[in-house]
Amino acid sequence: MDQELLSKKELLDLTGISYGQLYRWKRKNLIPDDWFIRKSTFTGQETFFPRERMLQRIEQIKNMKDDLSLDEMADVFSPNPSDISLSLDDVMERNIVTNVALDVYSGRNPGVNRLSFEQLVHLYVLDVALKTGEISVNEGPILLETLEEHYGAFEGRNCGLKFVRKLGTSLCVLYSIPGEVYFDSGTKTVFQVDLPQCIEELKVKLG
Amino acid sequence: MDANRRLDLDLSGVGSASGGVYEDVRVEGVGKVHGDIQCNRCDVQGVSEIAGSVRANSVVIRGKAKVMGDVTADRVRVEGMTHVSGTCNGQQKVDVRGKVSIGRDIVGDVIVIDGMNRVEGDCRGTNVNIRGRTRIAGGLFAEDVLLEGAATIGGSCESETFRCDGSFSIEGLLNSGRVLIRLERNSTVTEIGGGEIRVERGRGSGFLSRNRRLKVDVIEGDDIYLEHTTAKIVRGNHVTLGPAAEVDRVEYRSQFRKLGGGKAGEAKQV
Repeated sequence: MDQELLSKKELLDLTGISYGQLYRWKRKNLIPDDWFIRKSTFTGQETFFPRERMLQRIEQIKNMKDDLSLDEMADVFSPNPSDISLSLDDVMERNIVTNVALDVYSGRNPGVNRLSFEQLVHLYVLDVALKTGEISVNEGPILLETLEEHYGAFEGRNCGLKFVRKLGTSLCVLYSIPGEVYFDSGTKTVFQVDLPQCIEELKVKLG
Repeated sequence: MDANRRLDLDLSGVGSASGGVYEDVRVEGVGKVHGDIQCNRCDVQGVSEIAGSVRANSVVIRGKAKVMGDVTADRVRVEGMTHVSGTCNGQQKVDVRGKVSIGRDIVGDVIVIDGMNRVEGDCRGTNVNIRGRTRIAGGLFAEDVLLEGAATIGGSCESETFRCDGSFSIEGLLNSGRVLIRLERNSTVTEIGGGEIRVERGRGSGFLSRNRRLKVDVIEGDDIYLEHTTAKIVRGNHVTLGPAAEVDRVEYRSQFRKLGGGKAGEAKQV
């Protein structure tokens, strides 16, 4: 994946944070280690970051800083599940996902009233996918099935999800990050998402 | 028989026993315990061996003892030429003295390591005090670190405060909110990052203290004061180079000073 990089110097200039803050946040695992990309430059080794994700993360930390402690924030950003569970009514009331996604979910899991964090993640990913408009309501269950059956196998390791289509046939793939997946030339990726990012967004919504 | 009353295990001289649940365990001489032990107090001495893990309220292991598994207790004390193959976990305190080797991690609240000890894994605690010639193959993670001997750390060191009155070699990154280094002998680290970073010459005198410099590639911090330091790049807000500081390149934001013969190959305001 090609990504635009941001040097540490630029980061401090753009965001106005100090070295002390940056290193403290790194220590507290608010910024994942694999975002620190070391490269040789003419002045020696320098550290770079994935531009968009890093700027977004610093903005998030600054916004949350007044309400949450660093440890609480680390919880939000960690890919590990939290122990929240919600009833379907709560999910609907708090507008966590659209009703369409809820209907698809209930259609596949009739009788489920209380969702664990992991189930909430499945539902949230489904919602994100449906909202792109690229995944139809009929394809929703395929995505859910993949997540429900295989997401557990990643045991908290980072993973991504791709939804591909070829000659009208749909297929859903889960793969670990960092990792690469290639398909034959007729295949079109219609939707893709990193699970850690979804989990983060979901945790902020639930927060 | 009273089911609540657990028996003591008392093994001395040459003998062996099986593991299990006991009240107090004492092993002396050439004793061997097969299997895991769970007890209140565990006291192992001599050339004894425990072929399993120990879980207790307090554990003392001395002499040339061996534990093949983990040691878990509120308070753990390991002394002498002892070897623990697993993790040493003391909820309150871990005390390691002598010529001890730990096969995996040391975890605890207060951790004191003194002597010629080796830790093959990480060291994680709130308060960590390292004296003597300790080698930690993994990383050191704590709130407060105090180094008073010669420490070698194979990974990174992360803490809120880092104080050194001795020498160290850290292969990774030293990342601390406040770093205060008083050099007693030569020290090396790849990179230092933090808020306040201060490197001074220690007060000790004598033959061994004649050589004392810190060698580092990159230092990044908000307030930096360096003496007796060789660095390639120093980046910071306020940077001061004191006696015997030699830096190839300084990049500073608001202030740069040289005191008592500090040297910078080039200095640039960014």
